Amino acid sequence: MSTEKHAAAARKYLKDTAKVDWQDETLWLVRGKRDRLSKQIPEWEALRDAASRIKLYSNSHLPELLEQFESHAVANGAIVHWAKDAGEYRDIIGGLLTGHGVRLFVKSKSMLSEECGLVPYLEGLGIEAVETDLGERIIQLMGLKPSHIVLPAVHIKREEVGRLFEKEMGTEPGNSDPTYLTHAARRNLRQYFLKADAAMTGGNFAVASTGEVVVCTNEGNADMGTSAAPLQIAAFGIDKIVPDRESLGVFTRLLARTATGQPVTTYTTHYSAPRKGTEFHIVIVDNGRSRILADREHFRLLNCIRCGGCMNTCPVYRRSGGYSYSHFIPGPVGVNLGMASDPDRHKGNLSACTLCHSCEMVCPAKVDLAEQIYRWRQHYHTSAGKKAISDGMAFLMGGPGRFGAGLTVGPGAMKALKAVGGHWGKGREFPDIVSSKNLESIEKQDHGK
Amino acid sequence: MGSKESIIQALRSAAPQSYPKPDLSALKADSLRCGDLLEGFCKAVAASGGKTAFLEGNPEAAAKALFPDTDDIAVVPGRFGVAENGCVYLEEPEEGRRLDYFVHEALVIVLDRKEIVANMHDAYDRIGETVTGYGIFISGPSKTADIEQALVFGAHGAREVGILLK
Amino acid sequence: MKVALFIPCYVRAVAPSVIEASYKLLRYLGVDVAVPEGQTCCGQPMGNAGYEDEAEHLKKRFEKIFEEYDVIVGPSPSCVVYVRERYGELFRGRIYEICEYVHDVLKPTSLPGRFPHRVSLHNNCHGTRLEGLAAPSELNVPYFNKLKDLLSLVEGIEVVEPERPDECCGFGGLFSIEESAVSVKMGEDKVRRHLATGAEYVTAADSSCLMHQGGIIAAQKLPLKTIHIVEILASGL
Repeated sequence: MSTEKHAAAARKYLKDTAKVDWQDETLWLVRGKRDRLSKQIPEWEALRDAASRIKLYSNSHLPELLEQFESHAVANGAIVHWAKDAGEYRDIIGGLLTGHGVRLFVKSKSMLSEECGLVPYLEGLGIEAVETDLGERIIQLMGLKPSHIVLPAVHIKREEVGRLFEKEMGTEPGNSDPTYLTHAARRNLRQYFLKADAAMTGGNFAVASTGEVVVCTNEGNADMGTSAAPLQIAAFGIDKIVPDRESLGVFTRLLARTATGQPVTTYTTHYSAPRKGTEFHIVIVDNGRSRILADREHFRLLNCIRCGGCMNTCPVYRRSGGYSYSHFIPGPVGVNLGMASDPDRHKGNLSACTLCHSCEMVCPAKVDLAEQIYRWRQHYHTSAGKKAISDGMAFLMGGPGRFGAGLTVGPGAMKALKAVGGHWGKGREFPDIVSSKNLESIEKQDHGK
Repeated sequence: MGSKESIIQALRSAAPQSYPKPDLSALKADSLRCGDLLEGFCKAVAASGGKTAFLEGNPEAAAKALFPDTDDIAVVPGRFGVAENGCVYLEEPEEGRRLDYFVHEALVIVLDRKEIVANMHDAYDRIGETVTGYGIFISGPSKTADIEQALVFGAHGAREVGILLK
Repeated sequence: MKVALFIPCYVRAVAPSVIEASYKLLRYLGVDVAVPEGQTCCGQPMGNAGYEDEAEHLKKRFEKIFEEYDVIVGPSPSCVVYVRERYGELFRGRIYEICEYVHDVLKPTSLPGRFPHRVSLHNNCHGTRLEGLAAPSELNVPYFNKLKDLLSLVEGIEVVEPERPDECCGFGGLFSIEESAVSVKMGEDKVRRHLATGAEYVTAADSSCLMHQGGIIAAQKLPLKTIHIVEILASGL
């Protein structure tokens, strides 16, 4: 994650053109798969519309639905915890693990655990926390953070994985074949799955009418962990609530098609009761979501189902990489979620959008992502230079006399802009300011004929 | 005040306008249905990297015939298949056996060929009560593309999945 | 019915010939179009940069100039969309981007003149995704492209589209300055894809995208020219 403004970080990232092009092509390929699959479903747009409406319904009825979820989950034999914030989330999970004497803990991918800093906290308690999603494991062993919410290691080259696994798992030197490396990780992680004292998942959906937590993965890592360990924890944000199974029919049709261009994830697992002789704990987390709900301009952010589709389509994300953003979630939804959590820290991401609106049309739950970036920009300004240009334009446009005078000096003004630090001129010529000719006269000339 | 109460209270005071629960019946009625469910299902299973075969005789022998290269095969019953994406819905046959779905080299699911629904809407209408508190849709073998987006079967779960249609 | 031609400020500054072509095209198609005096800017560049409030006086000026007209037509999808969406109800239903107006309202079946060139069509973001000039590639909707329909009326033209036909070219108003590194990279990628079609011209309904792409073309001295779509449609006038 970047500690500087997106524009500055992106400028550095763009120096390695070959890598930039590779990332762009890789992510565009995923967008292309999504396009092909979505076009095989005649009712695709009706599905998106339904998903958006279900989320608006759920998010405007959260107290009832959460309590309904809880009562069903408890009746099913699960133990439900509530966490106001990241600190409570860490305390609950840390307390459960230490209380059960857990030394080895396997977890599947959960953006909530990134959001709440779970793994470093557990390591501080002396618990070995192993990420089991292959991409997450690669990132964890490298000491990095995910650069994409669904494809966490999308920026890592196979050769880098080869060298990492040679050191960590004893694979053959120089072998960077993805199949070979994936199967090495399979063997390596098996021992953790079968030995783990506890397993944790996030949750893609939590069903109010049944008390089920639904987890979608391709690798089966969540399933391996939860099917073997004596203690299972599932933690999710309050916005994961859906009213009923009928809603799952809509979301499971959209999620994988948008995320990775598959008709469905390999595993769609519904957990409601603990396995015999084990405990199943559910942690429901707010951590700022109720604040988003209260924000009339931004509450639709809670529609997000974390599919990553907006990242794959974003022309800026594809060319600036996940680490150019200051928030742990990058791309269009990350710009917005960062602003919703800590605007002063994340306003440097607001520039990372051309307002092309592609994200809004890919989004399966119709979050108004670009429109929200427009709104944040009205309240949080990112650069003095931009303000000066905007002010200057607003002044010039204040009257045709000023505007005309501005156009007369236009060519000079463009050069001045370059001199005061406008970067237009690098790699791109300035346009010619053609003339300040009175265009309104065309009408008079025409009618005079 | 406990955390639950304070979250609920924060949500109540934050509540935006109340949006109605959408009626999905028109969407469900209009949703994709392939002509021949069984044919659609078999195609979708193949696309997900799985195999299908019609079951004649003993399931264990048929499973072995499907995956001759391994002896580590779990044979389990499936409740129904979904034509639009090739997944099969399974429920733990008895307590504690769910690991079987993932831990073996090959997973073979025995399914009644008449038990195929068109899409996920029909699938979720079909599930009903889960006896063991655990149900799963499985679509083909475990897979990942986490290394340079190259598709690899056999990430953590079964490397191979076959459906025997009885 | 009173029809006015809206002159977006940057079009006046960098591509005044587009205004002349727009006027000629509308007149040819039988529209008695007025060109109101005193036009400056709708405020879009300031709004998109986060200073909508500070452009309030431009909105007032625009409203005063145009409120008496039944129809307002302008050769810039993004400016038209800005006025339509950000000015409240005042101009909704009566402000049109010129291609939309010609295609949907005037519906010509032929245009004079020839343009015997291969032209690569840039489907710009606001035109495609907000204005409805073409089916956005993201949506599962029946294919349509009003710009292609109009260009097909011009004799001799061969219209092609680049790979990723409606990916953003990276202009984005003040984005092009604040995020200039990403902006230039996006522009380079876009221009490279136009070049790969073998086209002589890049055309679009928006002069700002063309200005940005033209800047890249000039910096790299590529054998490509930019031309606003209305200039092609009015080439025989």
